[in-house]
Amino acid sequence: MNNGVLCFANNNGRIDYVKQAEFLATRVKKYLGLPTSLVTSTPQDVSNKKLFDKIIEIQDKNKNTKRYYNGTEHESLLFKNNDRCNSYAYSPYTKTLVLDTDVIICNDSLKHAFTNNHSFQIYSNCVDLTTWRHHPEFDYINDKGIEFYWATAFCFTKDDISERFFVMLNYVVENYKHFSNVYDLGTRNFRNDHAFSIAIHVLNGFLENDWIKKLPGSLYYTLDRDHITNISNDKLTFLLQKEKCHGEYTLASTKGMNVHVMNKFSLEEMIK
Amino acid sequence: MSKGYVMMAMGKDYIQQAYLCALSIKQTQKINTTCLITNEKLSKTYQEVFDHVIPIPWTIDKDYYMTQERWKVYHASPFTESILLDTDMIFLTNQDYVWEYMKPFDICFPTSVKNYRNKIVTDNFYRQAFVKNNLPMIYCAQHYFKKSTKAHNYYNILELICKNYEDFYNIYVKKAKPKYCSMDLNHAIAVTHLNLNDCFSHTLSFIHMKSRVQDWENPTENWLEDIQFYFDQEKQLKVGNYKQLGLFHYVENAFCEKVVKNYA
Repeated sequence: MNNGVLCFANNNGRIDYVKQAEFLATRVKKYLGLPTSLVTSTPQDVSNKKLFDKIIEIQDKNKNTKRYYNGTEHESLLFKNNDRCNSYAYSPYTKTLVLDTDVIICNDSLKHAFTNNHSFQIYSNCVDLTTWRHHPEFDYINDKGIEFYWATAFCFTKDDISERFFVMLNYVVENYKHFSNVYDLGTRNFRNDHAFSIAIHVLNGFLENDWIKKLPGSLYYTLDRDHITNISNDKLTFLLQKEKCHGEYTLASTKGMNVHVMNKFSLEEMIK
Repeated sequence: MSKGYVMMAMGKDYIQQAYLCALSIKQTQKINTTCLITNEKLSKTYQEVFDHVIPIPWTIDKDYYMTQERWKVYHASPFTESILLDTDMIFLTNQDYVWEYMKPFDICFPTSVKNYRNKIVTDNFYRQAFVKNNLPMIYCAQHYFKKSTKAHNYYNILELICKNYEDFYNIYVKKAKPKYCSMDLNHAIAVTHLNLNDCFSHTLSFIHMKSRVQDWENPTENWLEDIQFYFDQEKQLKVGNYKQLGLFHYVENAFCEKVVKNYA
């Protein structure tokens, strides 16, 4: 049984996801004591190959674009995000924790994902760092829809159950337009969280889920409207956009909390 | 010891709902004896579905049915053990196990119901009178009773409450008092009045389709206007993307009108 972390990083000419992956791998080693493998279509951008257990090269097939916010500013960029459904095939590990490169690991709680027998673990409830924001779209994929799961972090064991899940997930991804209609996602871009949520729901017989388990610990998040301003070991400092005040911020800091930082530009500034 | 499901209905819509419910019981339950208490004359098709059709006892005007007559169900039921159902309910899967769990009880009510996502309903929009007057949060749309001294006494008190509900509401429902007679409230008052604390079980429960308990942002008054349902030839029901199991309280008569055709 070998354990490890898998992350995906496909540079789009503007955001250096590979740099984020290197930063992630360093912190995974420090806090979780695990090796990290990188799946990338831009391996030439890796500056320190020793940080990774394996570098798995893939072809770039993505053509999605999305708005990337940096506080109040935004630009439309390529968003290369739909290879995550192949995690099962790519992973060299028996038990794999898949993490977004913009997750900043600050504690060892995710180590406990490897000390249980669960086939598949994922978060359904991540926590906004502010107390004044509530995002119903992170409770259910839409007002009448199914429960929302975060594809930001998940852990799977290579077994029959997980394999079936990834077969289903690939089916959802290949037929995303159909599922988007059936699950009333409107014209929104492809989103891994939605594909995962749908696959979990279908695999559970269209009922409330009971076959997947919650990942240990909590995952907090800041939006792309917020800024990260300092990273000092396990202490992170943020400027969080105030309630109903466009471009005004509240200073906040965390210690020992894992945080998903959605403002990629701001994160990149910090890890340069 | 006989066991069976009992419904009480007057009026064309409610009779059709009871007919649909009885069909669903025959379809899904092994313990599937049914009784309809009504003063209506039933068509042959309807008559054949019910094992017992019993007139509402002690009625003065046989065509007039009021909510507060429902205490009579205990006395009219032909079964030793009964589960009373509102007519606007259907069974989607087997629930025979419930009878076994009901063995120790004389009377038993559900205290929690679920929405179409199978989440326990926590919204008290429809239950202000219960919350504000500290009444037990029970539902009578599905409840169990056994022919016994204890249950008999209970239904005698319920009769008193039903016949004098305004006076009882003045005592027990001082806040958010409804203008009409509510059987849920009448039962809650009876339970409080008799200080009963052994008549609740989570084994009894159902999916409640009142629109404001579905956790939707802007629900209308009628859930059928908010979300689609799909009832297939195998008599499986999906609401939105969620498959429904167990006992389904559909509330809206339009649902019955559409679904009853699938049983033809």
